[in-house]
Amino acid sequence: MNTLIDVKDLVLDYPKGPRFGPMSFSIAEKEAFGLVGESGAGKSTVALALMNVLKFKGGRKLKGKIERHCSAKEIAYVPQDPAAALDPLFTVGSQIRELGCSEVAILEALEKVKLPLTGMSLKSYPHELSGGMLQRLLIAMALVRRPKLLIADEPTSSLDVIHQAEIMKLFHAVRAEGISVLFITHHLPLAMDLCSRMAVLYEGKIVETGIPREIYEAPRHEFTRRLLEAVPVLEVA
Amino acid sequence: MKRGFLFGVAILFLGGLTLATAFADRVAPYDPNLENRAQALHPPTPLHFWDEKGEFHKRPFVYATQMGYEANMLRTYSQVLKKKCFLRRGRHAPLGVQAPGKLYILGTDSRGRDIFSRILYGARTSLSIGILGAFVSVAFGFLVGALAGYFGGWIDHLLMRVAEFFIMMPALYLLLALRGALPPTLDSFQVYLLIVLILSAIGWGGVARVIRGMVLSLRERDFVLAARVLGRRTPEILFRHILPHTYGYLAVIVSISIPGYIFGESFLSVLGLGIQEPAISWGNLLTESLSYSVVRFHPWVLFPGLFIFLTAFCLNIIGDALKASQSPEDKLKENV
Amino acid sequence: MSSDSVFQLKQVFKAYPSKGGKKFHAVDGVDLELKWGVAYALVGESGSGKTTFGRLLSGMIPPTEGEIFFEGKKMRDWMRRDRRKFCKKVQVIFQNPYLSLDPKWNIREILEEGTLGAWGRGRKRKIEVILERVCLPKDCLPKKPHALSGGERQRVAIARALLMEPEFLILDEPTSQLDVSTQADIMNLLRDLRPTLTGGLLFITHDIALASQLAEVFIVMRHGKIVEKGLKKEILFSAQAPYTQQLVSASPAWPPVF
Repeated sequence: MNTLIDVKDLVLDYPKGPRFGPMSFSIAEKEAFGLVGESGAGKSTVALALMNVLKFKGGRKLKGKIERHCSAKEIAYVPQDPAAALDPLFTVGSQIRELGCSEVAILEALEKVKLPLTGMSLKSYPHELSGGMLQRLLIAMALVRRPKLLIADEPTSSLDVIHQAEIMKLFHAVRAEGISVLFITHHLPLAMDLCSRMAVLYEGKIVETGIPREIYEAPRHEFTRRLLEAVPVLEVA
Repeated sequence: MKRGFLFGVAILFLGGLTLATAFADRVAPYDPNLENRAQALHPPTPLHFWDEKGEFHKRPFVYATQMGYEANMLRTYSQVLKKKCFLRRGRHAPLGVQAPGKLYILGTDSRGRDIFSRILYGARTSLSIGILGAFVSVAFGFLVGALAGYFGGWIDHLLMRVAEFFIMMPALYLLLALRGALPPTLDSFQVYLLIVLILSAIGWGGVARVIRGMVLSLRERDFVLAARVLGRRTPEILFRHILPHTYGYLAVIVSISIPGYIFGESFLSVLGLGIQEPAISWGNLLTESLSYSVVRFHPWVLFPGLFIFLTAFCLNIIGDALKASQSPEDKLKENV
Repeated sequence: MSSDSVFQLKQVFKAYPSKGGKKFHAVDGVDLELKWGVAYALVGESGSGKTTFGRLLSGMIPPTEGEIFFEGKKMRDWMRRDRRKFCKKVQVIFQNPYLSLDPKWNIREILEEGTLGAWGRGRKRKIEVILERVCLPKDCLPKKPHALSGGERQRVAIARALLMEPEFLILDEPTSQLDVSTQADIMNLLRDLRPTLTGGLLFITHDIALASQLAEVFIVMRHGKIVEKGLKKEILFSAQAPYTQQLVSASPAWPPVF
């Protein structure tokens, strides 16, 4: 299997405060890679670094190597908060058209995410759509350019369980189509459900990498164990 | 860094000005009302270190001057080179020169009065009107806004319509109308109070609206709801949970609205509706510069305007710095 | 009216004005009885009116229509005459501990707000006891909320509510803003507190698994209406309403199936 992205000894230096890394991981073609960690562990920073859009202010420095075996245009991104990712002043339709893709491609992508967008709802503004619909719309917008890698940064954390289940179904479908997914989440069950391989981030470092089954059955790091225990279990009795 | 430097300069200037104003009796080189008709519209006196022969003197000196007339009847002052008048402590002030020289730091006006001294004395009126006006209007606006925001309903409705009336009126005409409605024959202290009142009446509306908005939003914040669930009473919640979050804004608004009141006073005084002679204010110092020919040939009569400008500028810098210094958790920010 | 009910709701509506002069019913005609000493879970997606429901019960907002009874007495009367007494009996834990603590106050001041009617040494002692109970170190007292982590803040909020010695606790998604491992700690704390809440509790959440850890009876809410109410087992295994079934099956499988 070909490697799509290879991260070697990535270090983010801050003059003050936490330091991220060094971290190394690689994402192969057609695989879903999970990045699990709590807030402040550096998950989103990694995503931004992979897309090469990290802002270097206040003396922040990036060291190490990120090898991309695909062009930057072939990496797509799905953000955490879909409502914040769209401009509230423009209609949904005009923001889709900004992508510069043919209408056929757009309609196809929308069909893929099962978003029944007729001419009417293309004229609606972001705030008129529900969170679940917006997130599906953003996934469609990400897919329209036929990316090789889809980076999803906590795509369901602002959604309810029912919408979350729908979005997860979509990610399974995306994976089945042969698009790699980098799935960033704090929710272990979601990562284990979707991903073929995953890494656990703790305080800016990767403490564990492996396939979900191994990690579930034999966690090696204390933090992974804590995470596994913390997942709320259905109590029937 | 740059902001810190500017802030330091602004504080120094305003601090120095305030001190100099407070001790104007000791700092001003001349009595502000002392008229020296023989030296009317005298330009600022240059200080010299080298004399006409190129010889250096450790102590700076000025030359005494003599008035003459040009062909077009303009006054000119020529330096009398014979006598050097060295700098020394004045009778009252730290700065003075030996007789018969005169130290006019910023020149004199058309009646031969020292402009620098007059600016210092005038600052007493202008600065205090600015500060007092800003405090009165912000306090009043704060009160109205807090009441309207917290109680809502018809109280809010009524208070806000009144506030909007004052906001909507063009300030200039309101100023003139209010002044015109009041008796013209008042002593200068009464006029002083009147101006403070008039300026505050114009300024409180905007403050009230902003404070009301802040209170409305704070009222729905979770920590206020929590206080209510904890059985706390309305006044207690208002004073302990809601209003403290508006104080940062109040500090900013006071500092950036003082210039407005100084301008207001100047505006009225320039038109002869404000502080009248013999009382001194920056505004009535500027009446001098209403005449084009005076400004054209004696530009130093504009120095009071420069002081107004610098004061306003410094206060704005301080307001900006106050705004920036509010810690993030103090700012009204919803992270939901 | 049975004497063993804590809250009783009769045709309760709560409407908010919405676009075009229409009314949006956050709570839309709810008839419900909460029995004394039972732990309830109110589950539903966001926008289902869960939070509004909690606010109605805590007396923060009045219903637009209908009547709420607490211990057989009208809520309106509680609010008008015995508000403090009511507050002593019913307390709320808010969703977001970053918002529910006044950022200008330090932890001591925040906690003192929960000690209605206690002064001096007694109050100090009370606060110390409660800090130990929620596992917070004493040295956090002079700190301000922003110096604490999310979990610590939520503990402060819980401590503040407990200082009132409430009989009934309303928990409005108390862990949704926290990390997973912190969430587990807070859930453990809440489970330990359960016996002290003689009147019972209402746990508002969208997470069925979390709800199952604390509650005995589930109330499923959607679009401001009660869809279904039943014992935990009934809801989890033999839900009648299709929406409830959807909700139960939507949470990801745990332990995972490989």
